[in-house]
Amino acid sequence: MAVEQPARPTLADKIYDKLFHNYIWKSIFRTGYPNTPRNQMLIVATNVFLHLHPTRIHRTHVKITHTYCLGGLSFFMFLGLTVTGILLMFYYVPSVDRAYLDIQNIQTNVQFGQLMRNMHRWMAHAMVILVFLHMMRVFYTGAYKPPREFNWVVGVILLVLTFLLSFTGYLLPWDQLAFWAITVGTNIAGSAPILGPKTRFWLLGGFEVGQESLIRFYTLHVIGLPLLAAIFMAVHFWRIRRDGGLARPL
Amino acid sequence: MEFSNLPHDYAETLELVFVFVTIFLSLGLMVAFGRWWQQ
Amino acid sequence: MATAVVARPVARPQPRARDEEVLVWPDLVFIEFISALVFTLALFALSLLVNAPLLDQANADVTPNPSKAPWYLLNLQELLLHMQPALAGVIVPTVWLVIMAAFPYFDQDNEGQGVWFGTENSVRLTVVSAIVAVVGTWLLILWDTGKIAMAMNDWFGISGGRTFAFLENVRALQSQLPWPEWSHRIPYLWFDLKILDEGYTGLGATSFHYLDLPGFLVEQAIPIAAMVGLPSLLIYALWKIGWVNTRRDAIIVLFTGFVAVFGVLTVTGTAFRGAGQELVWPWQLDVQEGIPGEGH
Repeated sequence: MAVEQPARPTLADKIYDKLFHNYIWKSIFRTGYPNTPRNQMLIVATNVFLHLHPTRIHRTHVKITHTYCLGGLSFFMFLGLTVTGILLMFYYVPSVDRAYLDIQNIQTNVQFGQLMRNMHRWMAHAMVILVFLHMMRVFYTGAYKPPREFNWVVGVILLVLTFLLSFTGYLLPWDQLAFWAITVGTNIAGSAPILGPKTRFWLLGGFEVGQESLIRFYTLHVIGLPLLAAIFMAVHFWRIRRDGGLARPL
Repeated sequence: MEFSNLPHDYAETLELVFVFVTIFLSLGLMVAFGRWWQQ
Repeated sequence: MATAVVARPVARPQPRARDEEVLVWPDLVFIEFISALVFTLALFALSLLVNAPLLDQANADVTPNPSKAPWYLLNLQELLLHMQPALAGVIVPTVWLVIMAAFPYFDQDNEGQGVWFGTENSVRLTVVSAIVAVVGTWLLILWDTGKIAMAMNDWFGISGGRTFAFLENVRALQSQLPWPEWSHRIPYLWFDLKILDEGYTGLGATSFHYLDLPGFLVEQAIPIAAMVGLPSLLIYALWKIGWVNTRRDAIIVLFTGFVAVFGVLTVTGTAFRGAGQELVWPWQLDVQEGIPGEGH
C-alpha cells in the first residue's frame, strides 16, 4: 500500500509563491489571504481602514434591508466629493473675475472636467439626501435609545454641517443661480432676531454678496467645514464602536 | 457622448428629480442584490 | 478607567452573543463594496447623461424671478411666504433641531430597538401621521395662497362676499377686518429698546417698543399656534383612540410629521412656485431674468 504523497508543486504554485510569499509583499500585507476565520478577523482588526469595523457583527446588521448601507454611503459620498473637489480645485480660483470663466473652462477645455463637475454636483445632492435617509433609518430602528443618545446629537450636528457644506459650495460657480440663491439664503439668516444682521455680515464678509463672500465661502467649503465634519465623523464612528456596534434587539 | 443641459426654467426642479430617482433606483438595485445574495 | 465616585445608573453596551454574529470579512465588507459600486456607477451614468446647470454669470443688477434658495432650504423659503421672516428662517428651524436633538433624552425606553418599527403601533402611526401631515400642509398652503377661496368661487359658486373676505387667506385677517387705529401701535415697553442696532440690515434694526396687533396675529401668533397646535392636536387625537401610548409613539408622530412637512414644503417650493412666488402648476414654471423690457 503506497502512502499518499503530497502533490508536487505546479508552476502556478511556484509563481504564486514567488509573488505573494516574498519578503517585500509580506512586509506590506502581514496577514495571510483572508480565507480562514483567523485571517478574516486579523485583517479587519489590524488594517487601518478596516479597523473602523469590529471583527464580528450581529447577523441582522449585514442585511441590506436593515441599514440600506445609508451611513456608509453618506461617508462614501463625502470621500467622493473630496476627491472630485480636489480635482476641481486645480482649475478654480475664487475670484469674481475668474470663477465663472474657470467653471466654463473646466466644462470645455479640461479633460473629463465636465464629468468631474457633474459628479461633484450630483454627489453633493446625493449626500444631503442620503444623510437625511440615514437619519430616518436610525430613527425608525430606535437606534438613538440609550446608550446611543449623544451619538444622535452628533448626527444632527453632522446634518447641519452637511447642509452648510452644500450651501457654501453652491456659491462657487458664481452664476445667477448661485449668486441669487445665496442672496436669498443669507437674507433668511440675516432676518434672525438680534444676531441676524451680524451673522449675515460675518457670513458675507460685507453687506452684499461679493468678492469677500466668495473667498470666505470657498475657504469654508474647501477646508473649514470638511475639517469640522471629519472631526465630528470621527466622534460619530468611534461612538458606534464604543456603544457596542449598531443597535441590537434586546 | 453628448452631455445634455437641463432646460433653463426647470433646472432646479429637475436636478432634484433626477437625483432622487437615481438614489432610489440604486437603493432598489442594492436591495435586490442583497435579497439574492443573502437569501 | 476612572473609578465612579457616585453610583449612578449609566446605560452600558449590551453583552454580545457570539452565536448571533457573523464575520465582518467578508459578509459586511462585501455588501458595502457592492453598495459603493452601485452608487458610483449610477452617479457616473447620471453625470454622463445630464450636466450640472450653469446659468449666466452672476449679475447683481439682474434679479431672476423667482429667486430660489438651494433645494434643501426651499422648505424654509416656502415658510417665509406664510409668516414673519425671523420666525420662518431662523427660529422655527433652530427650535426644531433642538427638539429633534432632544429625542433620545425624551424617549429612553429601550423597547423595540434594533428593528424597523419595533413597537406595536409604529407602522399605523407612521402611515397616519405622514398622510395627515402631507394633506394638512398642502391644504394650509392652498388656503394661505387664496386658492381654496378661489376654488369655492369658481367651482362651487360659493362666495362670502365682503362679509367673509377676511377668511380668504391668513393675511386677509389683517387687511379685511376693521381693526381700530390704536391696535396697530400698542406700546408694550415704555421706551424704545434697540438691541445691537447695526444700521443697514435690509429689514430694520431689531426694535422692541410697539406691537402691531393685526400684523403680529397674522405673521406670528397664528403660524406659531398652527405649528405647535396642529401636531399637538394630532398626537392628542391619536392618544384618545389608543394608538399613542408611549413617548416613542408620540415622537414617531412628530418625526414622521416633520419628514412629511419637509417633503411637501420642498416639493412646493421647487415645483409649484413660479414668478413672484405665485403658486402655479410645474409646467408653468418660468424663470424671468428680471431685465425690464426684455424676455428671457
